[in-house]
Amino acid sequence: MTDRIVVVGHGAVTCLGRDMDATWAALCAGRSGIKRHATLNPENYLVDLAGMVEDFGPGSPTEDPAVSRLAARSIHLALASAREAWANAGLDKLSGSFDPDRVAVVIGSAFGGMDLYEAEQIKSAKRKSLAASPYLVPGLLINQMAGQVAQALGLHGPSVAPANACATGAHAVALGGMFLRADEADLAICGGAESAFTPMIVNGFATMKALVGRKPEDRSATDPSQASRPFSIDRAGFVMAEGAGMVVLAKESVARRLGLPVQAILAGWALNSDGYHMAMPNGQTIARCLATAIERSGLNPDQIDYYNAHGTSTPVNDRVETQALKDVFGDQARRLAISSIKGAIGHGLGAASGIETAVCVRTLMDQVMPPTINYRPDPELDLDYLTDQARSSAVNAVLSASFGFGGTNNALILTRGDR
Amino acid sequence: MIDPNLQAQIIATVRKAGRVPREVPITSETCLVDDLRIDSLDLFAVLIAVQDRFELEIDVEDMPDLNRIGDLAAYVSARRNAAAA
Repeated sequence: MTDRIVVVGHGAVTCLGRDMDATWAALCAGRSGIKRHATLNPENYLVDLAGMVEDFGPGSPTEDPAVSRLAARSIHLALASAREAWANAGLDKLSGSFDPDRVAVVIGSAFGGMDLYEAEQIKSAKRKSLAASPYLVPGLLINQMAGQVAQALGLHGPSVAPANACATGAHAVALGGMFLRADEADLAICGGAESAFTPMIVNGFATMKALVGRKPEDRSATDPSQASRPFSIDRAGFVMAEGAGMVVLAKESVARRLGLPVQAILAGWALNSDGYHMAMPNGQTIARCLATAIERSGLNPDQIDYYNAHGTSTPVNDRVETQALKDVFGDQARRLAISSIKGAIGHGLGAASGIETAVCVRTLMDQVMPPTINYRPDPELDLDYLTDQARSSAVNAVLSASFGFGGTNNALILTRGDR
Repeated sequence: MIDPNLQAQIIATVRKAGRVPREVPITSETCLVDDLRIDSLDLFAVLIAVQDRFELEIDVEDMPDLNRIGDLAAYVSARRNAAAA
């Protein structure tokens, strides 16, 4: 029998909490972490709605000294989330019991250290010399997150940094699974981290009409927590967020030998490309991605209990995603429990699907599915989006989907770890 | 004679940019590399911080001469005086 790939640890840092427990409790309580932020001032930013991790990272009292020289927030978020996932697996206490050369680190981001880059560019423009900080280049590199996690945890296996827009975190999980299946590693820490609140990136998304804008008639004008509303009839764009989400994967034989907690099984995955458009999703290739992941997991569509949606709250994504679910699940689509946590935590871009993978693991462990908040019915979108509150119900198998600009799609299948 | 205020500002800038712990004493005789153990990357970060703080340019060819806090203070003072002249 082939060695299954299992999840043995998970962690997340989001605008709802500095760790997975706080994030999970707030998600299940239906709370939102979206606010207006004074730092996103109208002189420089077209939008001030955001899901930020406040009082965290470079320059804050809680700054991690291991990465104090690298002022890109994504690196700090990645390290906090990775340390949590590693400890959640119990691996922080097992040094010497496993071979660090056999541990892969797969952590990506859409934008990496662009916050550091833009801040340094502003400083540089005021200088009388051409000098740039010696920490600019190391902090800007997208693979520095994986590098710093490897350094902090003492890991020496393969290190890779996928950059696949909003599918990055899930791609990292799939790549980690591939390393284990190819016997390139025994363990893999995988996920995504993001902090891209720079004027160029925020305003770039805003001029694409991807973000909820400043409109007096919008629900967010009086209540910012209602800005992100996946699958809702008045959805008007996503809300940018920062954060990080990680899982630790293990070969099942290694997990059993080390006595690690088997929290979930990574039963299957699929990645594909739309080959269609720079930013618009393609329902047909998305449906094929979902169907392929289900088929590879050995399950039938009717065995999937919960679908953790990409659900960005943009008019197009939520419509296309709903149609793709109908194409894949047919009559079963209305039976499927669906939710998007982006209503509560916004869209963490490269971090989003890493966070969502961690949430799916917790869903399977606790047998609770988090809700989609801020929902108002859309007659065109007629599936069960878990719109009232978190639902306690038997969840044996979960499908988590992510789609990124550039037409990159991902679907992960996770099943209960105690089966 | 270096202005004591200028020297204090340079020490504060070096301490922050060079991540020198508060308990480590810094005087005009303190050497950035030998005494404070500031590595080559941090040394650049310190000199850029001094440039930004005092709005002047440090020539790369002058860097080897800027070993001690006193050297840095004298350099900044001279640059400021030259600019004011």
